Amino acid sequence: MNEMGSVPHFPPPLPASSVKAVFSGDRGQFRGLVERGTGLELITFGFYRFWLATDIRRHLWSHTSLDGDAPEYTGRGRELLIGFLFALAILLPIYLAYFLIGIEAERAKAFASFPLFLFFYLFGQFAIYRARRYRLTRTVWRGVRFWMDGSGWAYAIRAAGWALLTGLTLGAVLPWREAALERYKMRHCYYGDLQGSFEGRGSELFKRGWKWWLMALSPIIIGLALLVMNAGQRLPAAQSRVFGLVILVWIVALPFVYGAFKAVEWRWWISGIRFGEVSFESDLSSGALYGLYWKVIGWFVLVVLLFAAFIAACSFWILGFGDLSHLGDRLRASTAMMVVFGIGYLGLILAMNIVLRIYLLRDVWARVAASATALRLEAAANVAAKGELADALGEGFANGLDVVGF
Amino acid sequence: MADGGPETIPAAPRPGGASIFYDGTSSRRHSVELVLKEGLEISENGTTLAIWPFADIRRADGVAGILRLSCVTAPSLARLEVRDAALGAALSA
Repeated sequence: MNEMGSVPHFPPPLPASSVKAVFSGDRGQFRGLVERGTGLELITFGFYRFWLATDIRRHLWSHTSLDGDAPEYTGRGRELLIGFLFALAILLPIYLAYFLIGIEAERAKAFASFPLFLFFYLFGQFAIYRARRYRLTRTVWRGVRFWMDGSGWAYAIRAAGWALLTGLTLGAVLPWREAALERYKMRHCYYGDLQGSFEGRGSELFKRGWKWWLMALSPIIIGLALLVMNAGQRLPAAQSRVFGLVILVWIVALPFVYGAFKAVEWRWWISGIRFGEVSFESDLSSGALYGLYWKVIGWFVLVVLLFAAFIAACSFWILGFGDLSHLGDRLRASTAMMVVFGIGYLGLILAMNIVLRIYLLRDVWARVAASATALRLEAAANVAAKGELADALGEGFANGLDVVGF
Repeated sequence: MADGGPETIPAAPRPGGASIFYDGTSSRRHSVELVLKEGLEISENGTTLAIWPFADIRRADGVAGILRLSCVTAPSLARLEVRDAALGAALSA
């Protein structure tokens, strides 16, 4: 970085050694793994998810190789289960207290439950930090593990402060929030005795992503503009139609906008990662993820249609054709129909879980991983092993609170 | 870095080439020869780095086509990557 401004005395070692990451995972094999795992989740009332998550990571880690070596995921489903049970033991009383105090406090004064909401937000951020720590300490590359120190609570407080700012600015400071939080996380990440850091800048992400952010907000902006133009009066019919059209275009454009933003974000994130002298680059194009989001939408529509057809078929089968005028009441009164709804709903959730894991986990991973290049990897050629294993409590919290994040 | 210069970082694994050993204390890549005696003898340029008793050897997750092994009585992260299919088959047996 600091030599860039000055004229070098001798030509730099051009080109800096670069090694492309390779993803070699077989999609069919992954699909089989996820389908079987989802079936087992159903039989085990969801408890198989910890083993499925482990199998998914083992698959993804072991098929992503850098310089001929793939990392190994050494975590176990059992650890995730124990982490979850621990988290449950801590969260359940809090949930209950939250519920009771929340109702009482809300009765006394509106917004009184805000401190509790804040508490849960902090817990969620703490969980994200600790979950990354767990995953890193279970990642081994060339016989040396990654690890992480730093405080999950210190991170959570930073995250909450930035979230407040983000809300106040309608997301304008989001890039700086991401950069600041990632800087905190990465400088506490290590590969053996090689310390990580993050050099991505908020301004850089803003420069690459502002147009997507503006597009995502366009209905609000246009809506406000129309309101101001008409000084709060009812909109003329022509303007209402224009606004309707804007909303329609926005809905169609949203997967593109979101896909482009995610791609920009991934590329920025990878390009900012450092471990000692080792740095990374990504050539992920902004269009790389559109298709995946559209496929997920397509599957969602299909699954919902199937669900509707299933419900319709079952209701005719159970209730017969008969008088259609009181169909709604009769549907609600029938226990068999409740069971049918339950089964259909479960099927819908499970099918969507499979779709999400294949497209938004595996396929996104495959594209993002294959876009990455490591520079000066030789700086990691003789790194001394260091670092202790962390517990899976964070992952447990993340599961208990249903927060996603890395 | 010190003992071999930049040439020690090949861009891709040599198919069927020597086995690779990571001793679990550093990320240094050792190109090793394997000798099957009463245990699996792992040596680099004539120096024995480790002897793994056959009964203690376990299979670890690895890239397809490469047999990655660990040993319960060695440092927990020590890994041996066998890139020779015939030898891999002999060890798996």
